[in-house]
Amino acid sequence: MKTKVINIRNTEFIKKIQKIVDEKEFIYQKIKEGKFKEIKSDIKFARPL
Amino acid sequence: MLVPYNISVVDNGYEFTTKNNLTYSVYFIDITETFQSQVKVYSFGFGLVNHAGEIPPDERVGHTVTKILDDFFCVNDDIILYVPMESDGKEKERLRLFDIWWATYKKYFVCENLDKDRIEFRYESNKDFIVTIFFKEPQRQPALEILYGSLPEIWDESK
Repeated sequence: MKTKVINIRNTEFIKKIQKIVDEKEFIYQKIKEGKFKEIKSDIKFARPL
Repeated sequence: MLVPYNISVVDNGYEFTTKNNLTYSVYFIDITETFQSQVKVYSFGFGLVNHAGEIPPDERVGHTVTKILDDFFCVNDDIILYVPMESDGKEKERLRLFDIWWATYKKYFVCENLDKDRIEFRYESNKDFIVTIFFKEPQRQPALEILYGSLPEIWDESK
């Protein structure tokens, strides 16, 4: 595995990553509540397996 | 030999239940549009359902989670981003655990040339986003370009 550290000033990019994190926080709460399967949202869940 | 748990398909993703009767939800989110990529890009995550108290050690959990990634790459040439949750301040512990699982169970992978890179993005508020990107080896460069290509303006590589 390679690891890089990048200093970033691009706020649009930060928003993209923040969106991923926010979705995860939301899903994590739903999972904790046992309501994962009931989530209805704009999140594009996929089943690629 | 260590055997991963069976996973089942559920609404919004997958789940598996352990010998201790704990259930884990596992999900993929299609984030291709976010990165305007020609290759499919997924965000990946998992979590323990509805449990309070101590979680007994169970090495089959890590094996199962990494097996799901192995299964994914056996049938997909796509790319997965893993960004750990950070609201509880435990994102580095999550990454450490994930790295231990990866190192421990990689020997069981069926899919060849599976690898990961990690990019730590730092921005002005001294906040970090640590992104782990999973791919099959021929896809390393396209995978990194998906991330870097979404940075049309200035970025500095500090090391």
